[in-house]
Amino acid sequence: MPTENPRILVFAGSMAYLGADNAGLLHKEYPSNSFVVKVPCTTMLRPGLILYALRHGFDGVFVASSGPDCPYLPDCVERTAKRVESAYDLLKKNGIEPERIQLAGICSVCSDAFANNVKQLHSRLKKLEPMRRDGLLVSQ
Amino acid sequence: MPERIGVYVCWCGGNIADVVNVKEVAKHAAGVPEVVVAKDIMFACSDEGQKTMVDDIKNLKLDGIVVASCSPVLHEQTFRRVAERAGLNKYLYVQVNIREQDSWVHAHDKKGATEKAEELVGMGIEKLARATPLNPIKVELTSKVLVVGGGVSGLTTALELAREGIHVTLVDRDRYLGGFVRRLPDVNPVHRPGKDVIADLYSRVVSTGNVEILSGTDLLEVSGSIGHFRARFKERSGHIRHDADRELLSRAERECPVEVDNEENFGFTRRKAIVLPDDRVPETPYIDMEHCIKCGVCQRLFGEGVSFDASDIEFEEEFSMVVQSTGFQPYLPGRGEFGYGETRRVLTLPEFLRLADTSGKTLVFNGRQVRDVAFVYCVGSRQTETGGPNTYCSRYCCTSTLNTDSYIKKKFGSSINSFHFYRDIRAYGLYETMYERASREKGLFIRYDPASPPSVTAEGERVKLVTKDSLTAGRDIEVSADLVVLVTGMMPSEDGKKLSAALKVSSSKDGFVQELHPKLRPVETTVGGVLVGGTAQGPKDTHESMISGAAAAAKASTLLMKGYTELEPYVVTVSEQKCNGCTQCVTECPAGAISMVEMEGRQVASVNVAMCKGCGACAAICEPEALQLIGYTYPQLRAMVSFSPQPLGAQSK
Amino acid sequence: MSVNEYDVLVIGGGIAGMEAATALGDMGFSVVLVEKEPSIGGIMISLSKVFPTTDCASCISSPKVSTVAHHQNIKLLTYSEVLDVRKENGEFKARVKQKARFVHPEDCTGCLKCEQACPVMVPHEFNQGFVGRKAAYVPFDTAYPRSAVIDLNNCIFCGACERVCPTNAIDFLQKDEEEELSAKAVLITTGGKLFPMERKKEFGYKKISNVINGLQMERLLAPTRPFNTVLRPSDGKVPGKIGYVLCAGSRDASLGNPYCSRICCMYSIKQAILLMGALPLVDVTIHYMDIRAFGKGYEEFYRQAVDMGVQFVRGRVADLNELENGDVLMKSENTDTGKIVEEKYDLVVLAAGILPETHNRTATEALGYATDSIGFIKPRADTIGATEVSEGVFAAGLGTGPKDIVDTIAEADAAASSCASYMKENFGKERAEKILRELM
Repeated sequence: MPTENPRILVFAGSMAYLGADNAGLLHKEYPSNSFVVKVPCTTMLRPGLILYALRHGFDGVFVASSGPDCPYLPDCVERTAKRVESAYDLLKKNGIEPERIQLAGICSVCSDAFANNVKQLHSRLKKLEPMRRDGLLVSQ
Repeated sequence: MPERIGVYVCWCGGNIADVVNVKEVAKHAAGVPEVVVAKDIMFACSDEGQKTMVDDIKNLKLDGIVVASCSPVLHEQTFRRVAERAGLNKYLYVQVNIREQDSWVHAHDKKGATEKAEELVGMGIEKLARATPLNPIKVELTSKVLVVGGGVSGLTTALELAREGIHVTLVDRDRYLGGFVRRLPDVNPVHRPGKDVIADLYSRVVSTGNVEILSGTDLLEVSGSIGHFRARFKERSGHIRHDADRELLSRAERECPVEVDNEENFGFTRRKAIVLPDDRVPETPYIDMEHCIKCGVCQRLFGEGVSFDASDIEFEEEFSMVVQSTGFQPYLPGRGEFGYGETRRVLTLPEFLRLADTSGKTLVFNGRQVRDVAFVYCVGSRQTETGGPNTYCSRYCCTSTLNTDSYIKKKFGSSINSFHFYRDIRAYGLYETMYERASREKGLFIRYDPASPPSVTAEGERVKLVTKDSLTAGRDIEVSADLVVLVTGMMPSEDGKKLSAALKVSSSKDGFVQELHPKLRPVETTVGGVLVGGTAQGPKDTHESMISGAAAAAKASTLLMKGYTELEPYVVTVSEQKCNGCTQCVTECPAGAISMVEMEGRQVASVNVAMCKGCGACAAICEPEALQLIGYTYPQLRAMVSFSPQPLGAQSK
Repeated sequence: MSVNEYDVLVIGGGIAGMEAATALGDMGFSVVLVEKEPSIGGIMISLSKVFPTTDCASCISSPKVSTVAHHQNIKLLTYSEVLDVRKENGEFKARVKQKARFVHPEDCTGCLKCEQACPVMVPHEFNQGFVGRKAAYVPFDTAYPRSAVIDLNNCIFCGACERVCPTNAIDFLQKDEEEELSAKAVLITTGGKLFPMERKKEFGYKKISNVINGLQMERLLAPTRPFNTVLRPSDGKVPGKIGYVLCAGSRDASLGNPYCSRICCMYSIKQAILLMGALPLVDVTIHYMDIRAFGKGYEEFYRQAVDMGVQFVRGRVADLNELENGDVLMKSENTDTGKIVEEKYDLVVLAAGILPETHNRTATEALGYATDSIGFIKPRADTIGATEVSEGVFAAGLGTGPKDIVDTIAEADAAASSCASYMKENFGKERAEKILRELM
């Protein structure tokens, strides 16, 4: 059974958050069932947190790293990629499709990239089964 | 932890409320047990809106507030001050973004946007319910500023700060100050030679007694953060005493056998290996060891005053703030671009200005008198149509060219004919009168279409330009000139890019330093304690660069006169009980802020909060979750992501 | 120090005055800010969005208003005018008139009951006359202070407002009050105004209903706009074809304004972009002489407008005439084709230029600054990059020449800096140090 309107959680680093704001300034539309949680830098994401999100209400997680512009870490991209790789493994171990995670570097003016990534993940998740939370469907 | 929460949902006029049903959102929030009051407000940021919140906090004894409005980038500080004014800890406030990340991106999905707002508010409440009161980290600021770049902007910043009693170190790689303006023969709109403008500024700077000038000094390294920037300098030796006798210097210059192209004048003049300041400041001579043949002529005059093997001096200093005034570099046309490099009779505007300045009463190039000058505008600027990288307008060039036109006619007589191949004449503001005057002084203005720019070809001792003039309805127009001047735009300087990279200052798309807000905060950068002045931020003319430099001084003094600044308390804390002493965080930390200390007989991690940048990289790899990033703790994040929009049962289908 | 002594007197509470006052206040100087209108914010707070970021102007200016309003070092005097100011013994003495509001602002809660009760309706200045306001009114939604004011020129003294006011804040017996104050420096940020377009007869402004000026279009596009959409004045029709006339009242020596107004190209481009967003079917044509998109990111913004389909036609507009159905017939030249063309528009916007606000200039005449032929305050002779226009007197913003918001901010900060330097050198311990250094 495909997911009709997948719920997406976005973890956005500080620059990526501005990129998402920029998408707003330019009125670039993307699916509304997406929720941005701001973090200073995406290297703070524990793989377990991503799994937790998928088990507690989201069909997919978009990790929007600040990319090379990250004000915290010059190697933000590499470090975030490492976190996401571990998250893939963790998901596989738990029988969850790793393609529920999307990773991209989003700069402070990357409005298109932000909107497109959300759209991309949204359409990919549509083809998957809805995630279940405590035996209940996540998406409606 | 807050148990009496107020929620405020902003209409933002129609910006939010046209799409999101704000009343519904407020009603929904009111259903959360910790929420005492939930309201919709026309403009939360307005004074009226702020007053509502202050009153509620006081009257309803709220211990935390959630504001659902625009991006926190805009108003986080505003609402924190609201909390503070009402006597609430300013960190017990959460802003939820329902404009940039909701109403503006889901205009065609009002229902979805409203539900999203409800959930985002719910997540905000969850975050707030797990927040603790915090205090900002106070950083003492000593009255010491590093200004990098000694052009008009840097000199102005230094002057203003020094007059206010703040100590400034001004560093420039060049041995002489004044940057680009120093070489302008006629500065608009005061019509004085650039070196006079610089000399005036310099003497005022010196008279404050508060500025250490490091000219001819390389900035090797700079690092650190507000309050604690460390810079390492290399002062290049001039190989001759600074205070060498003037008469002897002139003699040494005459007798020096080495003659090379004078780069100050793009080779239109020659200079010796011993270089005299020649009206430049600081008034110190130097020996150009790259060309010096160590013949000893000057050594015989000055004895120990000349030292060929004097070594450069390296030293370090600490500053509380840095001002980047690294200026620009002129666009350099590629070979063949409007004939540049193919015929010598095609010059750039900076080159032409030196030619004009160093010419006598007649303008002579290559032995021939110059009567007809053709200016081609927008070279290296506004390149959208031509596919070049510089899409921006360089702002100063139109007026600078009009001023040059007027200057050469003043200096060499009105027999000079000028032709202006332009796209739009951007003689903005009061400069319009210059355009009007240039037209009156028989300047011929020919408007070209960027799709078919003028072709420039050598024709004997002259140059031919052909274009379609849009004013004569697209007919071909041909001009023959003695000289073609390419009006080249501004590019971010390489030195500036390096400095920005070292300080982690963001650049805009055009490569210039990105200001904190393009409208309201033009001289602040994305890095606290680093300001930007002059053309490092983007193209400007002389006056505007100075204004920008003075504005940067204002922003520095607002902090320095207070003597301290406050930083966000979003740093990592350690739970010593949970720490298992694995030391992985020590290696993970990019700032070197974590060390192991002994506590009750075992090794545990300890974070130096002044050094912690708050990235949270360490927390992510801490097995027992002993490290938590304040403001973004894992319990907070888990509560946010597991926030349930409706009771669980309502979700099943 | 008595209450009426300040370090700096700032005249004018627009964006320049607010920025400079805040900077000086943050540096620890005591500032008195005098604003002639009942609320601060100037022109900027009434604008729609700003170029090239399209941030909402009221959203980004209201925090500035709030900062000024609550700053511990800033004393704010709204609805007040400087009657005269002169220099005495190196300091400035000013007489300031607090105009009677007929409402005690400290008691007024801005509840708008008086406004609802008032029977008088006059054109609303803040909304450029598109809608009405009452004689008892709060100037606009985000006004600070958010206090009602009674416009006595239009009041019919019916007493309705007084009866409904829940806090008895209305007081018809209130009188203008005068206050003496002193300051060590003066900062003039008296701003600018739009060129009065009725002076250009050929454009028929105020005669042809569907010819409006740029600031009126700002209000039609603002988030707090009167009709919640863009309508043309004559019949309330949504315009399908809008024409812009650039350099209206600028670069026109015959009208006495030879200058370029710097902002009109950009605000027209911005409005065109906003119009394309607000009215998906609209055609916008901009008639221009030169597009002066010279600021950071402006050229790219101009390209964006071109890409969105805004038409740009180069050439002067000769005249505008009203047709029977309210449409406007524009006669203009097109220099790219060399032809004179006639075009019908539903609505024509005159991108009116900027003049200095010279209201009550005589009050500050004694300060000894120079002005040019149309009243812009000039820098001191032979100075460049300076904001000091006479000893101890500084100026910034539209009063010194047309400029956009970001250039105004930079100039205001520069003026604050020079003002601070001036005070430190003349009144601070730096003065003593300097004298000492010169002696040594």
